[in-house]
Amino acid sequence: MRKTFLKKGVRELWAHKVQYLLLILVIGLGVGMFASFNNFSNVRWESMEGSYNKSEFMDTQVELRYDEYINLTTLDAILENNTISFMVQNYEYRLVYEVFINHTVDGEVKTTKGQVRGYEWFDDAGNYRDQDVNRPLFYVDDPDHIADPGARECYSERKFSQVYGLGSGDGITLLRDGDKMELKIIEQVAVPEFMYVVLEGNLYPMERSFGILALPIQTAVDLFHGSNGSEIITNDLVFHLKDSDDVGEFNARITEIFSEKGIIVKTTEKEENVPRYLLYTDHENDKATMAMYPIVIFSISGFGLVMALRRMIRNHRPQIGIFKALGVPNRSVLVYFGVIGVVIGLLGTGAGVLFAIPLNYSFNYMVETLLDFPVTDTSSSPEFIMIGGLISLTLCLSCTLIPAMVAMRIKPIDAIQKREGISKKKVGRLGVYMKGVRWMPVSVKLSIRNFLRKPGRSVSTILGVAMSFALFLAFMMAMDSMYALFDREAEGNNWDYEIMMQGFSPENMTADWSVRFEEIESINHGMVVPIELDEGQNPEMGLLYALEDTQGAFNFNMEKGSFKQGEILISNYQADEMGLDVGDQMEFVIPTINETGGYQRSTVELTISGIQDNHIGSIFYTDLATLQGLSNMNETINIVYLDMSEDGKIISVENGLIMIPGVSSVRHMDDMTNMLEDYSDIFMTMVYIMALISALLAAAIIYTMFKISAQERERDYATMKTLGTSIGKIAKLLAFEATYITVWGIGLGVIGAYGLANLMFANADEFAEFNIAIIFSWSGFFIGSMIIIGVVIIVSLLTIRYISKINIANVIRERSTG
Amino acid sequence: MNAGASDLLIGIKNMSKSYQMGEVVVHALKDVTLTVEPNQVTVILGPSGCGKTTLLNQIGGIDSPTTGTIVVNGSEIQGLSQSKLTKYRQENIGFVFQFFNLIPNLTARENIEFVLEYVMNMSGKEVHKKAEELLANVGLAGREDHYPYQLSGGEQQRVSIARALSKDPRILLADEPTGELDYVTGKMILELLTSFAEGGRAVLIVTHNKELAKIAHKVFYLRDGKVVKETKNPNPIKVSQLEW
Ligand SMILES: Nc1ncnc2c1ncn2[C@@H]1O[C@H](COP(=O)(O)OP(=O)(O)O)[C@@H](O)[C@H]1O
Ligand SMILES: [Mg+2]
Repeated sequence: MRKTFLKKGVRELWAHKVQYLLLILVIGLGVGMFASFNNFSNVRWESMEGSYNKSEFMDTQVELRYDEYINLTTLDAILENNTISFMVQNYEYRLVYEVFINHTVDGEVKTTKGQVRGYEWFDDAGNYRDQDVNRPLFYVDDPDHIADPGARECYSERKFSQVYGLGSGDGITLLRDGDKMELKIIEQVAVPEFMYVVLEGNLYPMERSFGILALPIQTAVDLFHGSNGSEIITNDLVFHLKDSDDVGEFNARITEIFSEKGIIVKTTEKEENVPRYLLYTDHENDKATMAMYPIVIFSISGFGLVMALRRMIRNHRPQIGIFKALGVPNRSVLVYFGVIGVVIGLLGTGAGVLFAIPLNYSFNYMVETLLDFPVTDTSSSPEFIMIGGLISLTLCLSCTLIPAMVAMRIKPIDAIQKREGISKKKVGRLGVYMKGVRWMPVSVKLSIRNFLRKPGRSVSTILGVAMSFALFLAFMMAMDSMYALFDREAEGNNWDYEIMMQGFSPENMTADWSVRFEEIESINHGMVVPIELDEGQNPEMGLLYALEDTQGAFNFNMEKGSFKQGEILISNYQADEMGLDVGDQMEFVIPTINETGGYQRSTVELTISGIQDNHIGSIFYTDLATLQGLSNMNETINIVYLDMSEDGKIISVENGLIMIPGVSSVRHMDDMTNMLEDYSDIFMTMVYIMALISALLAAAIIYTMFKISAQERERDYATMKTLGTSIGKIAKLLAFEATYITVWGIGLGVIGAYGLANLMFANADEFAEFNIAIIFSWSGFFIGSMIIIGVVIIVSLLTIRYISKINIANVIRERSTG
Repeated sequence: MNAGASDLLIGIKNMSKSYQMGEVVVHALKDVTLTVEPNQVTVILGPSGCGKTTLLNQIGGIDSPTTGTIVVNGSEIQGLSQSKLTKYRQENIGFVFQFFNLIPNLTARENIEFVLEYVMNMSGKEVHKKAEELLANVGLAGREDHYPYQLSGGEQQRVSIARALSKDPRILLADEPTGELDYVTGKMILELLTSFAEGGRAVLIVTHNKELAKIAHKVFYLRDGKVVKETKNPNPIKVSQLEW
């Protein structure tokens, strides 16, 4: 008996193969997405971890102050100190200093600020050795070695090399204090401390203005002293400790030992390394955001599945009653439905594997090109497919077995006596109100009645359409919102060049700039300082920009109030966070200079003059005089904005500016927008993939829902046909119903898209902080609507074709046993 | 009774219908030959499964015979295209189903209006009036705005008849019209059906109830898909005299 039911189950699947195939597709998308998203997170994590592990990443770093160095004898004396010597497992000493790098870009010489990092690449016997701590990593398997301890050769940092097209064999020139040195690039390299190049004080990685070069320490010393064969000195140490838990103690002691010798050092623990911190938190954030997507996809596939399987079982109710009347045990009946559930679940998982393959492939490609770690571990983890498969099996089984068990509670007599053509089912309560209405065409009445009588059916179809549409639209909205941000960022900034100073500098340092560079039209002095917003346990950090002509450099989109001299302009994000409004006083902590000329942090207060909503949430604005007054730093600046007479980058000006003593970085407007786009690459790629998948999902779900909907009306259509209603007329009825379901579905979908977009993106911290407003995507709306309308037309045509071919005799026939 | 008895409304010749059921071929109708004259009630009598519904479906043009010919009103209908068959049904055939097959989401009136609008291409006020008239004719005045579920089986069957009649067909086909109904209601339905057999129209009733033979002008006995006997009855009894 059990075996017959098994066969029956398989036959049911075969009879409705297209529909079940689509369900399998829907489940497959869920499983595939779940697996590949998790796999992506995994690959990203493994690559990151792998890179740091392979580099033997430090426990701590000890850096000397600017322009202080020690020789190796002093170093040995310090490290032999018995309060720390027993803690050290391994260490490396390096010589790090800043230089200018001249290299050729498109035939033009470009000067970039750079950093020389001298490593001890040879042992006492003169043999090549790898670094024990913070080992530079290569992107090729067997990199060429530096030829000898004083070779005029270097490895150049990967991102820097890529931006300027530098590679093996290329020559570059280092400039330092009037000395020059020609170097040959051997290979591209990742420097562990800069796995992701971030300049201190900057929000974003800035490979464009920062060239890092790894070379032999002897070569570095030669350039440093401007003569060959000088004594080796160091200013940068990295350590591996025997017990990494000792790092706090170790840092305290080594700082102490150095200071006894009159040397001040700065220690940085592994976790405090900025690029590493950014990489790990970025991964955590993306992982959390991405976890939402499979949940949403699974919910929507689950919804389609529940609807389809519930209806399938409802259609089987008379059969179940007859089985029961015949005394078939419940178990056997459940086997029948269980088979359907298991087959869909298993095939869905199989489809998931098929989907996961191209998805994994694109994700891996993304990891390789965008993250570009020196170690890329793209091995896929089968456990995610297994977990996804388990979820889908559970979903399919509960979607078949639970309604089947409910159906089995019916009395056999009811099921058997239920004659398909005899109407017993009640019209919904609302149906009563429509009875007397005469002016309406029957077609309209019929559609409305169909809706009112079994609202569940139409509503579930509408919801299916709406959810799929919402999903697609939400991703399109996220995408458009990001693009809108880029546009807004370009519009919100009115300057051509942003020049950052190495520290606070006198205002008059720019005095001769407009003479030296005739392209400079105007110079806008400014100060940017980090501020703390609340003196509580977790002070929130922000940046305060104060320019001579703040409104000249930035365009503000005012939500309230305006920019006023002597007051502060805040973002709508911060207005929410702090619960402050225009006219309120805002307290915050800034660096100030005291009577003795030393830095300290003081709490100051400004009146809020306005709330803007087009710049990053944690940035505040005031005027230069006000900030100079508050901080006691008169005639001091650390940032300058330039307006140029011509558009676009002017390399000669950039080269000149970067060489000016005290200038730390030169950034053109185009660099900023490019960088923003790069920064959001991963996010955008994800969203793009998601939009594609949700379009596919929407098509599958809408097809299934409409198909089911049409099947349920099959008997009515057959009756109409028997009565002599032409196919054209039936098509009209169908079109009417399809139209209103589509219209409702799209309408609700728009609302749903806002909800989803808010759930998935607006709640993500970055969205709020970056002031990214979720905007409506007309292109998404049109593309999505086209997909839906296309699918609806296809299903309607198929249904009409089906009805025209249908064997009405069979449908009309008494169907007591199915 | 102006049409002559020689007028032939339906002529079926050597018709067979078989269904392929996997390996097995089911011969539902075997070499059936019969005629139906206008102004007459014709009954097809036979036990369950003998092929009655199948036969009716062939005449109604919702199924087509494997071999043989069906001539209705002088033209052959077997092998017509789907759209021609739809037109044929629209112009000639009224169906009364055993299980009524009313459209559940439409009221009694709307079930009829649907046919008037969608099959007969009528419109406006006419439609409402005609529907009301038809329902009044089957004794359902005052129940026009009830949904099928609010009507008893007999009432649903009467709506179904009114619906069939709304097209004013030449031929009324009724498949076990009393099968689902009690004695009194059944008789009422038969009364309605037989009264239709005039003005050149014909009624064809299919049943397993032997008593119904008495009200027919002509009876075909169907067994195992074959016509085994044919009787004629120039003066059938009135429905009111019928007992079973
Ligand atoms: N579509 C079909 N496929 C297979 N067999 C059919 C089909 N329709 C009818 N039959 C078979 O033909 C025979 C006659 O059926 P039917 O005309 O419904 O009988 P009746 O109406 O006299 O009870 C039965 O054996 C039935 O099983
Ligand atoms: Mg029958």
